[in-house]
Parts: sequence; C-alpha cells; structure tokens
Amino acid sequence: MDAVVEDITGIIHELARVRRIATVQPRDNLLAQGIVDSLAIVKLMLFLEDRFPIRISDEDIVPENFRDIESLCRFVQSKMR
Amino acid sequence: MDFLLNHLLEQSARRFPDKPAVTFGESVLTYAELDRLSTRLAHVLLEHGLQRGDRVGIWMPKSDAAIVAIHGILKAGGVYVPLDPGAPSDRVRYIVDDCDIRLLVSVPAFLDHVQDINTAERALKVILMAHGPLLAGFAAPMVSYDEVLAHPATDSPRIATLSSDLAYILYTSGSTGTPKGVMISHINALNFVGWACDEFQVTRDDVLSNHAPYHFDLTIFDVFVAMKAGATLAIVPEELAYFPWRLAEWIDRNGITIWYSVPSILTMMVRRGRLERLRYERLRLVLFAGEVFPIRYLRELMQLVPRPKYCNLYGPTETNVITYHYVSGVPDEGAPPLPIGKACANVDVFVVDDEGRVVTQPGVEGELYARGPNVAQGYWGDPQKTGKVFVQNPCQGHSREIVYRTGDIVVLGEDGSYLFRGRRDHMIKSRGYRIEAGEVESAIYRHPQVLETAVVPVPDPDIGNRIRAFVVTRDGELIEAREIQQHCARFLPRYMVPEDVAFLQSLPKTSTGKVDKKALANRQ
Repeated sequence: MDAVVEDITGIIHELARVRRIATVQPRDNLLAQGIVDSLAIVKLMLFLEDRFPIRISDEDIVPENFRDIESLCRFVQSKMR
Repeated sequence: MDFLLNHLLEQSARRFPDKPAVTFGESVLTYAELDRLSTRLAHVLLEHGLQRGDRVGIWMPKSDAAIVAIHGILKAGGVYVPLDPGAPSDRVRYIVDDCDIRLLVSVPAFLDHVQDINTAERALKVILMAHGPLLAGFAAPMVSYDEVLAHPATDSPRIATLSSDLAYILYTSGSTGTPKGVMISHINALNFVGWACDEFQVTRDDVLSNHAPYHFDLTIFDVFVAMKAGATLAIVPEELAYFPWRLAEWIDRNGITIWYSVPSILTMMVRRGRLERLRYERLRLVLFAGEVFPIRYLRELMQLVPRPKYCNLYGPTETNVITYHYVSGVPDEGAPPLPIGKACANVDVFVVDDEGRVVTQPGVEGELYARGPNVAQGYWGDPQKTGKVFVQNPCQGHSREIVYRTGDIVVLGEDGSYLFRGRRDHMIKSRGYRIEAGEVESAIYRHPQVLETAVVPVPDPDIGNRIRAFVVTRDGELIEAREIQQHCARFLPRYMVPEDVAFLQSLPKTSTGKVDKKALANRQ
C-alpha cells in the first residue's frame, strides 16, 4: 500500500476509535459518521502538513476533500504533485 | 389568539401559504406544505396513542423533516424531546427512560441506532419522516413515511393544550453524572419569541439561519421566531457546519439576513473562512450566545463584515435569553469582555450576594437571578435538583413566585449593563455547550483502572475551552490516553469527551482536602 493511503487510513482509524467505530472503509462517509468534526479537522490538517510536504490553505478545507479516506488521499496526492 | 407555539405556524400558513417556510439544500417547504405535513404527523401520533403531555423523541440529523416533527408533535399536544444525533446509545437510552418516551420520530438512516437502544420493555414505536431503505430485521413497530403521507392534512387536531403546558424538554449536562431535562412550557418559549420578534423587527422578508442542532436552545429562536414572522428558515446542512470557507459562501448565497450561532463558529469563520471575499448583501443582524466571544475575533469579524448589527445574547437553557447587549462600534484591541447587557422585555434580573442580600449598587459581585414568564418549569422528574435552583423569590415575602438562580456571577456596570464574571461551580463552556466537570469525571470513574480523576477547562481560541482530564490509575498502571477517551465516548456525547488526558501519580489537594482544580488548571 502506498504511504499516503497507509498514513491517512491510520489517522482516520485513530480518530474513529474515539467515536467507538472499529473499522472504516475507504468510501465510508466520515462526516455523516461524526469521525470528522471541527476538532478532528484541525488535528487532521496538522497531521497531514507534518507528514507530507504540503501546505493546506483555507480553501482546501471543504467537504469534498474530507468526505472519505479516498477523497483525503486524492487531495493529498494532488497537493504533492 | 396565539397562546401555543404551534399557533405561530398555523397563523403564518394562513397569511403566507406560498412563502418558503423552510429551506434545506435544494428542498423548499412552503408554509402551507409545512402546515399540512405537520398536521398529518399529528394525526398519526394521536392514532398511535399519544395523549396530551406525552413526550415524543426526535432522533435524526438536522433537516426539514425535524422541523416538521417539532410542529407535528406540538399540534398533537405532545412534548417534543430532541435527542442529540451524535450522542452515544447509553445517553439516549437514559433520556428515553428518564422522561418515558414511547413514540420516536426518526428517519430510515437512523434505524440501526434505534435498534441499538430499543428493548422489549421500552417498546418504542417509530414514525418515519423520510423515504429510504429500511433496516432488515428491525424489530420495533414502525409507521412508514408513506403511511404518514396518507393521513388527512386538513384541520389540525383539536387538543385542549394550555399555554402553561410543556412544549419541549432539553437535556443538559448534570453534575451527578446524569443529564437533566429542562422543562419548557409554551408560555416560557412564547415570551422569549415575542420579545425577539419585536426587538429585532423580524419580518416575512427575513431569512434566518439555523446552525445549531435541535437539542440546543439557540434553535428556539431560529424555528419559532421565523414561524411567527412568516420569515424563511434556512437550515445549514450538517456537512457544512465544520467548513468555514463553504459556510461563508452559504450565508452569502442564501441571502441570510439574521445569523445566530455560538461565537466559536464565528471565530472559525474569521480565522479560516476568508470572509472578505464576499459581500453578504442581505445580512443585517448577527446574534451570538452561549459563551464569551473573544474580543480579538469579534473585532476582526466586525471589520471584515461591517454592515450588520451585532448583538450578544445571554441566558441559560432554564430561561432562554434574558439579557442582551448591542455591540456599538468595533471594540478596541484591549477592550474588556462584552457586557451581557440589560434584561429583555417582560423579564427581570437581579443580583444576590453571598449573604443572600439583593445588591443594586454597581461594582458589587453576586449571583444573577431571573424572574418572569421565561423561567422554566424545572427539571423533569427531579424535584430535588429543581428545588435547589428554582426558588422562591427572596424579595417577595407575600406571594408565591419562583425565580431561577443562574449560578452565574455577574456585576452591574456603571451604565446599567451587567458584566459576566464566571460560574459559581465548575461548569465548563466548550463549543457553546455547558459541561459539568462532574459528569465527565463520573464517566471516567467508571473505568476500572481509574483511581482518581479531575476535569478542568483549558482556554482555547477556537472553541472556548478544551476539556482536560487528569487521571490517577490504580497502582500506577499504564493506560493510554486514547483508552480513556474511548471509554468516555461510551457514556458521553462527543463534545464532552476530554480532548487531553494527562496521567499523574496523585492529584494536588487544597488545605480542605478538595482536589485543587486551580493548580491543575495552571499546569501546562
């Protein structure tokens, strides 16, 4: 598995465990399940900027980029290009 | 005569049948449609045994269907109890049992959660307010949305509800580890709604935002002021709630004229929404309540969005809003916190010092008391807790009058405005929610490895306060912070789960042997 997918899957599972959700599929809706909320977004941003050579701007913080693991991976990969 | 909350909708439906009452994404409900749909639901509830005064749960994500549910329950003479869509099953189960909910209005997507809390003894009956695939093997009796739609829409049921009867119960955090249900009557809510409509001159041309979830009392303004004025209620889709960039665009595009939220949300938009991109042509009033607005961000907000008036509203769930203060001009950088202001119409507030004397001179601190029709009916099924804070008016020796002790310490300023100083107890404000440290502590104590714990607030520019838990484990056993958080999430809604967990060998104590929360709060 590619490092981006692996790391993002890891942090999402960590956030999900606090919500008592054991597993998250790549296309499970993170917003609907409450895995991603205002605090989780801040944590995610710090994590992603720390782990990958990217800078996340205000306009990147939109639901399309945070909806599920797949869209998060796509977003990070496009930023790294 | 409008003496019930449901009369507000019925009146506006007669006056403006074709006006949009509620918008939610692409969906628009006119006043006539909202009126008819809620009447259908009212008939269904009555057919399924609802008696006047029965509590009916609403458990679904924020949506136009939830607004229909609120009105339908009221029309049938029921008391609506909004359940937090994000709350863990244990808490919802507690509330369902505490106020004896038998009928639950929900949506198909929530049936697995319902399944999770239902048992044979509870015997919930579920009424669905949306189409959608049903959960296979769902055991409880259920009324489909098609069945709801097949009921007659003409003539609201005639129920002999009085304005002093309960309209809704909102559950808030309680210190002993269990939530308390604040009982609000029709007249309690109508007094506030009537004041708000007049004070802010809300008309049919207004578009009100609905940001807060329905178990939060900010929504009473959104839902019922809009109905009274014949205005439009625009529901903020839950998935935009955490995305400031999009939220700013949503306010602009939907022509919101009156915004109401906790300051945290406005702060988030100032910091991350790049508000200067847009003009918000129609926005005329920004209301905020629920926590102290940091001056720095209020200042920035007023500079970025200069046109609307800004008003700070204050009041606990037990009274809804009781004081208000218009912000006059952009505050200076080092300005003191905003006053909570002066009492609303038909509400009186006064200050009582530690000795129980009423203080009227400026500059003397004391606890704020409220009296008037806003004061709630107490806590559901809990005369003891009710008696502690809903008390006989100390200034009134000759007739019975119940006033509410807010637990907030205030001081009267020279200009006649009240200033908020802090809480009498250990209540923590986070994201506009009030959280009893004791309730979080009780949840942590349920972990078998925990010997001692104390919960303190850590000021946070985004959300008011973060919750930090200090934990001492048995025999110094090693457990991870995450485990404590997961443990808490089983018993508490997510806004109450500690963001930080720190482990100590022992908790610092004061000379009287109490946990020294001040020392803990000062620890880095």
